[in-house]
Amino acid sequence: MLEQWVPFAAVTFIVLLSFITNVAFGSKVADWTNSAPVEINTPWKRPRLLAGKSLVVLWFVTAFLYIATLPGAMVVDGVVLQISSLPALLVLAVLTVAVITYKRSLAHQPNGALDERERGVRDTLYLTSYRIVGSILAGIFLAGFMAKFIAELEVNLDQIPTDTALGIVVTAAMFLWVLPSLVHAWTDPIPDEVSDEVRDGWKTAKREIKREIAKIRKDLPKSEKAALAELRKADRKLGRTRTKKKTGKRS
Amino acid sequence: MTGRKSSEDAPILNRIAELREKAKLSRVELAERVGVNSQTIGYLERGEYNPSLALAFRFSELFGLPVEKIFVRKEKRRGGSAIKR
Repeated sequence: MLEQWVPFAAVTFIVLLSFITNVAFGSKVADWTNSAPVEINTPWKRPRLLAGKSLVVLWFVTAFLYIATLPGAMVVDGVVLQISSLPALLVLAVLTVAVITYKRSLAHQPNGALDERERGVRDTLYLTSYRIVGSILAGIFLAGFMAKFIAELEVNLDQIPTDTALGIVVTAAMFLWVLPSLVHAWTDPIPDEVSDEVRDGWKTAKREIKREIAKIRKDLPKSEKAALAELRKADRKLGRTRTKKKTGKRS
Repeated sequence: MTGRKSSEDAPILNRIAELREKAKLSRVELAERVGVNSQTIGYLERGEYNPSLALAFRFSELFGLPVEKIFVRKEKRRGGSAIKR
């Protein structure tokens, strides 16, 4: 039983870790690693976008696993998998929170907390979500209609066990709640704004370092001259003491 | 009809990045002054978002320039001023 969950848990851990480091901490990670963000606009170098897409994929995989492991939905050697659905539900709940909090929970913010562009983005997310839900419902009705009247199959929803039906309803409710955030996480093409700022910071820092180096180079001959003068002085002093010593010996 | 469509499709360019640098403001500072998120400033500077009239006027008041000096429909390069899309 546990062995089945090991690869899934490993993938979950890696993706969540990636999400936390790249999204939740953002610029702080860049500061810790002290690395200059190079070519941030290259699509494959956008960890935030990848983290968003990974989150969406993981959410759907978890939801599928949860439904698949619901009691009555899957039976292994005559044993109904009642306990196995619980970790999937917990992971699904964690992922739901992670997806919703992605990009400052933009999809679930009131008007007052957003500026005009963000309000536009949020409204578009809901419009896309309604379209997706509409398409899914239309697909389900079409499939049911075809099964009933074209393939003449017996469609009886009473055959689904109560626990399974409840699990499906819970997943569907979570899906409807999280859908705008899922759309946001999947489609968000925003280049890393913080990295832009950091990059600007690096440019100014580089300029300042160059200026400092130039200044040091300018000052270097002077210090060399000063050092030579000091040497000469010391040499002269040394010469005087030698002559003094010599005269002293003679006298 | 075609002419009207092409004028509608013409991108709106702006000088926000240039004016912000001149005013020695960071994106966060500028965002706070005009009352938007700092990411929105990034979108505006890259020309990926066109502001509302209200926001355009807030920029105009902040930089002390008429709106048409900040937002234009055609790219003009007079005296090396960088107008970004």
